[in-house]
Amino acid sequence: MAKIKFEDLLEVSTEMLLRALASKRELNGKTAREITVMIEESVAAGKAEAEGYLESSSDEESG
Amino acid sequence: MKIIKTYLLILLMVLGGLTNLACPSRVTESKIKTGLQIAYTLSEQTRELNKQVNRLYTEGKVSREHHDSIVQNSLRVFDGIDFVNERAKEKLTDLENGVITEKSFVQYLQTLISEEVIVPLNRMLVSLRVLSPENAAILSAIISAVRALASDIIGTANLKNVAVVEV
Repeated sequence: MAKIKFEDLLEVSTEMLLRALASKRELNGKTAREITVMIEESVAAGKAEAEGYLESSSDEESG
Repeated sequence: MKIIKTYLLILLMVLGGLTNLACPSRVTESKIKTGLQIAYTLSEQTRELNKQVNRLYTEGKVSREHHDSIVQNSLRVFDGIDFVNERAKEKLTDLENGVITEKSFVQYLQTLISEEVIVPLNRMLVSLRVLSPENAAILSAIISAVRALASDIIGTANLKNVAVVEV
């Protein structure tokens, strides 16, 4: 397996933090109801992405 | 590693917004929104975590077993957030109709987050722990970010009987 580099560490943590900051900006000025709609959309997207990752790792294994 | 952990913690603290829940005696509309903001942010962070873990897997830096375990557990986290959101929507209607108080709504939301989100999140963290030594470093950074977020939720949402798994 390939070695993990310091640059990998930094990239992963930076990406997650940028996403967290973007989330905060998106939520400013929204009502509680609007946020529940955003949650629905985020969860639906997250589940679809997760299922896609699992499918593609399974395809890779059998392929 | 210490510098990165410090950097991550400082930036997460700067996100703020969650400090509203540090004063449980003053319940306002903003605190209700804050609870929902936590749920949204956690969903987005879980998406990002999956994306990063998948990228590392395609680069050959994380095994398929670990990749699949983390992603499978994230589906439970999404289920939990979805459940919390659906119950929150029902309760918002009750709040708008004056059937419940803001205080009871916030307490209800906190209990739901404890039971439906933090529990699967802990399981996800356990999966992240089970690593081969050479891959431990990269996922330590991810764990730090997720732990900081979970600790923030536990700290500011005043959740009971919940412990984040030590990694």
